[in-house]
Amino acid sequence: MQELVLIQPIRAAEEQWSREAAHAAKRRDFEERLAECGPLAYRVARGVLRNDADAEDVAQEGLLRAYRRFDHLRDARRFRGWLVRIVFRLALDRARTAKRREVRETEWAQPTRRPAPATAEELAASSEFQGHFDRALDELPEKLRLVLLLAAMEGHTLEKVAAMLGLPVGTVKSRLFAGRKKLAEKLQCYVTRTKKR
Amino acid sequence: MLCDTYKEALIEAAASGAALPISLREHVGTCTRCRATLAGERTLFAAVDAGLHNAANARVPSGFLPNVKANLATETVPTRNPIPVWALVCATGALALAAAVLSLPRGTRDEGRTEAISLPSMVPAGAGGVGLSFVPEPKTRYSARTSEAFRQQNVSDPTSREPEVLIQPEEEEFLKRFYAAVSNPACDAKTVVADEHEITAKPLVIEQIEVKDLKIENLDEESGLAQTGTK
Repeated sequence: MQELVLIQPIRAAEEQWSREAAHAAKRRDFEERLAECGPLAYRVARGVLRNDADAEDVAQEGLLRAYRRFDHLRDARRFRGWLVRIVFRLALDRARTAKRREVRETEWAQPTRRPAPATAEELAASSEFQGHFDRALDELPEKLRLVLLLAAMEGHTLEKVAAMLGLPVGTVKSRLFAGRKKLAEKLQCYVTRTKKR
Repeated sequence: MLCDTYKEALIEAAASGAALPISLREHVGTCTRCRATLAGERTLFAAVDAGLHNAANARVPSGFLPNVKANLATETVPTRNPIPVWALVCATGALALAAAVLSLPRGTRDEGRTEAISLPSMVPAGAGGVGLSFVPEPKTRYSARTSEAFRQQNVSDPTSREPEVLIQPEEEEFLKRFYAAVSNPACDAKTVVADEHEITAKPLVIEQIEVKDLKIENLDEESGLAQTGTK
């Protein structure tokens, strides 16, 4: 015997229509934000992973995840901070699983012999310093690292970072100060060693 | 020894980029070692800032945003479960509780019932003539909430006045889409029918009805025989 289904087609159609309309509105809304927040997502991922391909991959995944959960976001003004946290967490997970740390450790153990850089710019540009810097940044606590990255982005003031993360400006300032100081402490031995050469 | 007391202050000054306090400035002016330390710390913090700037301001690849948009286009409509998880957990808990109560020995349940029955006897004597009913009124009306619950569970609401249609299960999705297209003024329903559902008129086949030959028997003769037999 053929099984039949009893439906109310008009009601079902209205539901489907309203669902599709809501979906279209949601997508339009998200795409408007994407133009503004997409680069931010990429830079956050790139700041953690320091690898273009991985950063693109993770940022894209983060944006899609944000799109899927867009309904769950209660306050639309917090979108930037929310997205930053999603991407930052995904990037941290990727960095942990990628096992790039071992590679960096071997780089750390075998520094290349080069003339000591004279200025801060030369120091920062040297690949050896970059390797040490990446490692030092990886070792920082997550909350300090996120604030350091966001505050270092062009066009980001402390107030903007504070608003993005939902923190007081004083907290952002103190985290920024502590983060820079810790980085400097970790890189101190490298600088003194290069000076001794 | 004096230089060690200034060391922390020198680092703080280099980190914040602020001007040196007078006492520290005087000391740095006379002490070459502290001057070198301050210069080194300033170089280090400048390098840290430059490294952070490099790390945080990477150029975004030109194909990044188009790729994301293309991926968004392939995303399906996210549908939320009409029955939330907490409701399922509560329902499971209630079922478990009910099962636990039913599994109690009969005597234990009767004690509870006796206590409940003895409650009216605690009513003061003045209210003796008045019948107190503890039986809740049966709720037979369908409220708006009930109707909403039917709607959320995607079940036909028996109180709804909208027409109901009996169809085959495989036709359900198409019919919903068809009505959605019809209710959308921007969409042409014919195209939906043409694109998504090819109508093929199948000839109705009715099997031949077999009509057996009619046998006519005379019942009177049989009854007559029976009568003669008895005589």
